[in-house]
Amino acid sequence: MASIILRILLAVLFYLLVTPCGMVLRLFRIDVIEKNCKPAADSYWRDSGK
Amino acid sequence: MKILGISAFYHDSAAALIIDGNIIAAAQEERFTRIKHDKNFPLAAIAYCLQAAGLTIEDIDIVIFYELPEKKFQRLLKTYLSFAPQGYTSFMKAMPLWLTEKLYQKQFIIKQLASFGKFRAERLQFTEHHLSHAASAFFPSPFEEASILVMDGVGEFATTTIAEGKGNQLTLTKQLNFPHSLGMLYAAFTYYLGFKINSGEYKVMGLAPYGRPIYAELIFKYLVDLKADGSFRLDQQYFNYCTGLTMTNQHFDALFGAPPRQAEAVLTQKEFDIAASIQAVTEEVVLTITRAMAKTDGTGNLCLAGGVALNCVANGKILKDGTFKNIWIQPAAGDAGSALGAALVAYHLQQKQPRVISEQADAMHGSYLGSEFSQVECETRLQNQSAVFAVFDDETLIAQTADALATEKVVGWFQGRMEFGPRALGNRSILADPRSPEMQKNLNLKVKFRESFRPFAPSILAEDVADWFDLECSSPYMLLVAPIKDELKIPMSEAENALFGIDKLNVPRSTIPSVTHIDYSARVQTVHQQTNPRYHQLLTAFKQGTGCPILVNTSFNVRGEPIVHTPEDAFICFMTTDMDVLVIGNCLLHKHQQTATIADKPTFAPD
Repeated sequence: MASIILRILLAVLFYLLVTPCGMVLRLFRIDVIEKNCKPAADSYWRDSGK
Repeated sequence: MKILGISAFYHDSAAALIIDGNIIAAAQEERFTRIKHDKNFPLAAIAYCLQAAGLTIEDIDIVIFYELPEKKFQRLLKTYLSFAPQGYTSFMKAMPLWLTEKLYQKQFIIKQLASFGKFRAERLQFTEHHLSHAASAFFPSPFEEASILVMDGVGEFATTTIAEGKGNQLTLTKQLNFPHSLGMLYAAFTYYLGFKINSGEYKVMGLAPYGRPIYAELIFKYLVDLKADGSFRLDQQYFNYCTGLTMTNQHFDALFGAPPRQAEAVLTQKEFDIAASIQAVTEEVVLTITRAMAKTDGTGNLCLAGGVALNCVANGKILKDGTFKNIWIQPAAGDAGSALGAALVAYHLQQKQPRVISEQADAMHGSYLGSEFSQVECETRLQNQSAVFAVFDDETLIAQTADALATEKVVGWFQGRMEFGPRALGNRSILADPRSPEMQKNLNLKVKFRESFRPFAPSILAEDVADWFDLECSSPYMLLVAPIKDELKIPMSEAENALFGIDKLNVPRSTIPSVTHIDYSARVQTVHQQTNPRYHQLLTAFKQGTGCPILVNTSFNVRGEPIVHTPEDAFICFMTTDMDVLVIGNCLLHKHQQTATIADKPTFAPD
């Protein structure tokens, strides 16, 4: 029973929170994990400094 | 100061123990549980490390885990955010596991450690995945200063990291993050070629010389955007590993004109060509990075770790490229080695303890860091298995073994401490005569029960390596591929050259055909008197009898099985394969004299 409730909650979370948030981020062209290739860029390295 | 390092929960769980900076013991969990790449918490490996040092868990000052689970969870969430509404199935599969288990890893680890005795929770530390790898690559190396390159699938975020090491200091400087990963790219092709990821990568590398890299251009055009400084990104529209349950997707299939190959389906020239292409792309990416690193490096020394560093063909190319004068590769380059790396992070970086560079070749003790069994124990254990054996003194034992090898007998060789890392380095090895043209095929099909295309590696006396291979440095961990000397090559006739794929392999192409791959290369292990005197002695005896200082060395296991751990594992493996002779400590066994029957032949999951 607990696992069914968890699954329903997760499904709700995915479609009502994760998906819309992701879409808003994409609307503002915010690439949270730097997913996209940038053919014009010279380098993809990023500093490891904390 | 006593520090225990642990890696677990993804693949190849392991434990390592260091005392005052010296590496005392290290082992992978799979050897004890007999589950290949076992990812469970390494209870048996920890028990072994404690026992090897005669310590209890209360004596340990710091226990350190090799990565940061919360940061990994952050990466997962960001990835879902980035891809949603794609990724629902994967989300529903991953989240329950994280929410019920993985987020509570700290509590879980504390509980597991408490099963060894009284464990004080404040002694548990965590560090970063790539810092663990980098530490495992630099601190045991023979270099005062070096540049370090870590490449693997992914840790928390980083997939590729460049670091600088000096004395007891280690600084991560640059990185590339998930999903852009050379390890993931190679794994995607491993999957597409019908092999298991995290283990089938060796098969792809072994297949590559049978093909031509005709798809390399296509891969660079569509899949990999490589910049001049070695940084790269992967075009995610062709991959499925971020959000799906597979590695590649229909766009990838369309690019290569077919769905992924089914496991065990026939291998054709197309698979060979794809393997050759991904290998060529990997080499080009790695070389572009190391060339760029060399421009700012002032040390001439390069240290490697991370799963990609197990690609010994690429390592050989870096060496040949000459941009770095010296290269040192952590023998347990995969995640097992990061248990050791984590312990070194705790000692040198967190506790700021000085680093003493080993007077030996490096601080790994030849990677012979695992369990060992005394002669008395070996005899008792063999008797309990009803084995028929004779016990000889060292000299006779070596002479008899060398004779057996020279008459083309396949010998199981079980000595001293078990190796740490994926390779057998002459303590848990199956040995054979490399001069025999039939040996490669026989070993694959009758002893190891694996695909006939897979090459075998040579062990050679370190003193003789330059006479047989184009290799001017040592390669104690079998992590460098080098070409065989020109004068030993047998040129192929035109008809032989035209042969297709695996048929090509059956044409002897050197005076040591069973360790010569079809591109005249070999994955060399140099054997050193200092780290393995017994194996060195055997090779010397074989050389005296035959003129050849080389033996075929393959890991002591059958396909799908972890390398043998105990004398019993070795005896059962011996009895259930076409091995002729088994040497355990000073005990010598001939197959034809055995009367024992193995009732429960062990079965192993396909690899």
